[in-house]
Amino acid sequence: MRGYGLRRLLKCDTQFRVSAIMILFAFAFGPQVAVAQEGAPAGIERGRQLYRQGLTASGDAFGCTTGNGIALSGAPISCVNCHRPSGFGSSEGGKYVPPITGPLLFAPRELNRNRIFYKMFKEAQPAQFAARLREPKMRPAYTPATLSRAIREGMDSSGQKLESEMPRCDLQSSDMENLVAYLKTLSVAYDPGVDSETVHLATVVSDGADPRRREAVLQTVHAFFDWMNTRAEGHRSRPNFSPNYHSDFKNSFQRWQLHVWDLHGPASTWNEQIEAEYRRQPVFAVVSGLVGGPWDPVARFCDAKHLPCVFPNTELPRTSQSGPGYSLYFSRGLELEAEALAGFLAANPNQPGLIVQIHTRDADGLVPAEAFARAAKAQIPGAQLRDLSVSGEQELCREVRRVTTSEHPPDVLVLWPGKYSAPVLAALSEAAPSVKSGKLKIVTLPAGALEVAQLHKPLVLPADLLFTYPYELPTVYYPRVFLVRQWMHSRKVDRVYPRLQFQTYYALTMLQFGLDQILDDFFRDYLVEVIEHEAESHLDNGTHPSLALGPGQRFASKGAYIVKLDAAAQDGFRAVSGWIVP
Amino acid sequence: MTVKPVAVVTALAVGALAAAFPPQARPSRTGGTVRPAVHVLLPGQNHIAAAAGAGNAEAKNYTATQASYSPPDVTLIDRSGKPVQLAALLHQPRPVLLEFVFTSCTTICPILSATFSQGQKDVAQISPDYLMISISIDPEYDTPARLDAYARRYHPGENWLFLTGKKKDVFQVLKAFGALYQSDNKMYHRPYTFLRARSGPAWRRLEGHPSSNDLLDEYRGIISASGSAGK
Repeated sequence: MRGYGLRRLLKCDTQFRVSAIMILFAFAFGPQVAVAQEGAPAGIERGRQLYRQGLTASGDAFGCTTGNGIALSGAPISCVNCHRPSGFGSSEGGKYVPPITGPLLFAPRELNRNRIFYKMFKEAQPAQFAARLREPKMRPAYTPATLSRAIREGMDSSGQKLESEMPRCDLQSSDMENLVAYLKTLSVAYDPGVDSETVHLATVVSDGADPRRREAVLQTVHAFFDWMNTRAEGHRSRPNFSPNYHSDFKNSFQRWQLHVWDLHGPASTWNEQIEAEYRRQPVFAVVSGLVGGPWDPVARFCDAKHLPCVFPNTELPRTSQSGPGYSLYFSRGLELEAEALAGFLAANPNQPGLIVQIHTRDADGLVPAEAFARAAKAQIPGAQLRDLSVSGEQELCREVRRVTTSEHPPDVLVLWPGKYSAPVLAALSEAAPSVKSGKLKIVTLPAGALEVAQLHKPLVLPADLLFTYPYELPTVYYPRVFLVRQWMHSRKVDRVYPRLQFQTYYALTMLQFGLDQILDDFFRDYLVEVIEHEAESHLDNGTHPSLALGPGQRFASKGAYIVKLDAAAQDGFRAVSGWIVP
Repeated sequence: MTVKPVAVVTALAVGALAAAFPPQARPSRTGGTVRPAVHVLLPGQNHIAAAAGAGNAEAKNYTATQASYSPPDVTLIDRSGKPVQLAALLHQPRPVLLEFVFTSCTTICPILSATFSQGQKDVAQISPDYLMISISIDPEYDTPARLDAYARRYHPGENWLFLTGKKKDVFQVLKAFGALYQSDNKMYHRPYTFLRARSGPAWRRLEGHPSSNDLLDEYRGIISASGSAGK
């Protein structure tokens, strides 16, 4: 990128070139014409680019050196890495990275234990970290001049040396001005959806979701909100009663107000409906939820509004964007199942010769089918893949019967039946007696069909009926399961769909821990960063083998098992593969 | 900062005691054998300055200990997807510099990897057959492709391997090197660098962020302590 501007200039026609050079002259020799006057939107935007991407106004990377001489440049050195998008800093690897939001930088340092309370008492960091947190490091408010000095020379506004890991960067004055202008705007005003009494939160459901599952999710969410509000009311009603420093946090015991965004009709109308709900009452975050079909329309709204959407129950997350969005997911869902299946078949010593894939034309069929085709092409190049796209239950069942009972069936039949799991299993049952044994080796279905299969009468097929299963196996012990189960029992929540409801509980737990930690710094980016940081801290309750995020990560679980029905096994199925991470 | 007489006397007393009663090796909770920290004397530093909290000398940004580790016999995967048998790799009679990172780590890993990057050429001059190894502690997210993208930022030479693998295998490696972290949450990992002059269980364990010079000094130190480079 270096020199890009100049090369481009020299290629332009003469008239443009002369005008451009005259403008450059004006900037170079006209100190009054600053590229970014303080507060000018263009300067702030360029400052943001510098903060987030490590690029100067001319699009170049810049180099920095740490206090002890380690050189870094480009994306790894951008401020956002350590100080994070919210500017509230981080704590990782025994290092405390302090906040650099506008209100904090441009005011004298005030000792506020609240902001570091979690880090002090609840994080498992080494002694040096604890010592650093307890250093007062008092300083006056930064000015543009002292802030520039801090960034260039690593000295704070009181003349103390900054940590060695803080890079010292030699930025041009104009870039420094842009950065300072941006920092003045960083996390200044609270995000919408919060006031002194209430945090407004939403959950999203749609009429296309299975009504009983929808009800189970909503019952869990309502019960959790009631429980949180009972506790918060207790704290608020006795502000001076202060065991465990409670009165220090009196600004953080808001009531949680739940808004159920109940979407109707086709997904193309959802954005309008969500916009109307949000206009009526903006919310600070969206938690859990269950919609029929892809989460995509909701995800786009979350991204547009910078609204954290915390662990919705979906098998069709938005995976097609570059860069992390604002929805945090359990896993990549059906796309992951398809890729794990391809991995399983590729690892099989008897590689399939012919694979037939039958899928519905909605997203539940198309998304995994496309993912499987891509993954199979890469991992099982020797196999021939025939793809059959069907519309509707009848055509689907007809094709299943036809393919399985044909004279020359494939080695593997891969099925993505969408909401037609029950009819497809019935079709397989009907066809079973006529299936020629020996040729068709494997028939696969997604995890959504497993529950239906367990309720079905035993299916005897002269081929292995396998399911992709991106969840934890029932045989694994999770102590937290007992806690959650007991909570549901005590709150009179019917445990009808355990995994779905435990997922919902996890989403609510992450929201609770996130809000607990951000206290009264009601900034959505900060909430997301805290959840990224803490997702791996053993709060998972048995739904997935492990749930973990990290800076910029959005899918907490990354793999799947392949399982088959087994009446003798716990919950009626067992794994036939290890944990496959595509 | 002036040196107080009390600090001088204390330092000399501690030094005398340490000489009279050398530290004993003891098993560590995490499976290696750890000797209590021996204060490292680095070129340009002396007992007095160190005991007084680095009065005249620059305070070092890391600590160093000697330790003994046996790497597990697991198969990891390099950034091109090739399997690598860790025990066999480390059995080779080559000096090794090893670190634990993960690609979405934004705070300490870029500095750790940049330190390796900056030190490569100098290390190569001391021992051409050196091996640098960066192992991902978030192997499920750090696929070979992601590891490769991370690696390229640091312009690795041929002797610098980036490894990922199965979660349980990486766990075994972390355990073997006494580098497990609390709550199994990778955000609580520590900035470790491990150095070894030749095959065998003796390693030098650095915690913190050594400068390039520090790393080279440490490296030279272990090479000369082992007798000769590359044996």
